[in-house]
Amino acid sequence: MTRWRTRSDYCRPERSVVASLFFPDNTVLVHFALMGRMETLRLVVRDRGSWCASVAHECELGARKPGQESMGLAREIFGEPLYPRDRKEQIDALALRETFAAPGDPKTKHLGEAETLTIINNRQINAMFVTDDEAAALRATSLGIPTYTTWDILKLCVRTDLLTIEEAWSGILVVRGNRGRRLPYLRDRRSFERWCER
Amino acid sequence: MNTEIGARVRARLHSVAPELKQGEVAEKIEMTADSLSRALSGNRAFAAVELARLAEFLHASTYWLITGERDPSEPLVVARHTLDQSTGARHVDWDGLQSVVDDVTLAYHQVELFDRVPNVPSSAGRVRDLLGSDFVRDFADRVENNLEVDVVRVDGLPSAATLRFPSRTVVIIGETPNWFYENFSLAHEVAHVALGHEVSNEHSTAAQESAANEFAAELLMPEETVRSIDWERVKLSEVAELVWRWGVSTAALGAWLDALAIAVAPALADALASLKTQGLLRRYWTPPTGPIDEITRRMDAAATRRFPIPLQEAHVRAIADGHVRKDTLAWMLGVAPDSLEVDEPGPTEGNIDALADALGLLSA
Repeated sequence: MTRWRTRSDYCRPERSVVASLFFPDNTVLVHFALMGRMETLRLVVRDRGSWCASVAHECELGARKPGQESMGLAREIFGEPLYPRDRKEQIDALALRETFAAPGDPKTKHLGEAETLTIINNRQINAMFVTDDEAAALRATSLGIPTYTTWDILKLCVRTDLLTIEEAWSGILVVRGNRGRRLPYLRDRRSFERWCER
Repeated sequence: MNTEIGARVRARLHSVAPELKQGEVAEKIEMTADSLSRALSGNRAFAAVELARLAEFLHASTYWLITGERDPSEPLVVARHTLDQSTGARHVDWDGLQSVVDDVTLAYHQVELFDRVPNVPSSAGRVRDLLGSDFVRDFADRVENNLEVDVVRVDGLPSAATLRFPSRTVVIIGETPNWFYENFSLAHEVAHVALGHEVSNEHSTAAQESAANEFAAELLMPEETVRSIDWERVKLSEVAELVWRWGVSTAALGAWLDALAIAVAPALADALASLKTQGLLRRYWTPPTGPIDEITRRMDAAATRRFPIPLQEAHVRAIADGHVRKDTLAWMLGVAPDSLEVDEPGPTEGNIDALADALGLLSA
């Protein structure tokens, strides 16, 4: 019989599970920073964080923007970034980025997601990928990499008492945007609450 | 320790911005001077985004920075030169063309639609035979179906261009209400393919441009037919009919008659020099009777965005399979992605129990 760990469990030793690393993309970090929930993210990730160099680089630049300063905490949470280690990984990331791109996108866009998935896939890292980019999520899933969104993480926070429904919903209102508004479970507070209970 | 990228970056920097110090370059690409220095000396790897920024700054391709070689999947581009009448100089607005070339290339790369070898004979007459009778009214379709060369028509194109992928050729022409310019541009690009103009960089030579123009004129206005006409006695109504049927401009006809050293009645020479194409047609051409103005219909067709249907089909399938987002198809159709209702996978929703388990948030 298992139960959900709650806030009081975080100081206890956890049960032994096969470690799975938590790789975020930059947009997820922006979302948590804008919601003012980077510390909550730290509690979720604990020592399971990892990230690739392009996400780290974008995050460092993002932390210079007003309202996103707390993105600077990401380095403490996710540690030293992983770099493409050879020519193959660099080329694979470029090729993968093309599948995520749209006409008119700058050539720097989507490289964080592409580099992350390339590194996870090429090195067979036991990892989960947290992204709000649908194309990247679909590709990750097709590669067998478990994929989650900002909203999934917020749901987890509610289920583990790290956030109340009110706290999570007020954060969603800050970052939901048009895309999130179209998700049935983010349409209104009640829908979100029902979704969290599911 | 990889120092090859560093060597290429330094060499490129030397030719592109020799006056800049390394620290200034680092600032421009939003790296710290220390990070760039260590990366260039091979003591630290480059993040993909850092390389992309560096490549952009150096006007180089990221692939080349990584490998030192040209990306084999990138197309070679032949761009049509624009003639500056005041100086006689020819030039290509390469900056304006690059974004369209990049977007079209992306559309092909995303669905890997290749494996189509052009079937373009080297003589204008044989090309005309392959295109079939009255080809010019649906020139783009005929080129695509009969010559195995894809045709894309988009707005904002400074000049026509031909993209040569390793195993596919794509002609890009600009949307324009002036169908006669479009026809000549398309014929000119077909000529580059027919004449097998080899390109080692982005620009064709003036000699290639001249040969392509002559080929295009012969394709649209067969010399044999032109010479069979008595241009000293022909009526303006007959000339207007030819301009309509051949789909050329008055200027193109005038230049071709001049190039063929054909004597022309002074009144016709005046008309070709002074009348714009639509002016000649409106005054002297007798359109078929019908409810729709044929000239307007032809303008509309030439000004309509166009992408090969197989390319669009490939995107529809790739979207349904979750391989690409629908933005590129929407761009091809000229609509907003959100307005495009095609079959696509629903939003992903993670398994929250598995997430909790993976993060060790389930207690025994």
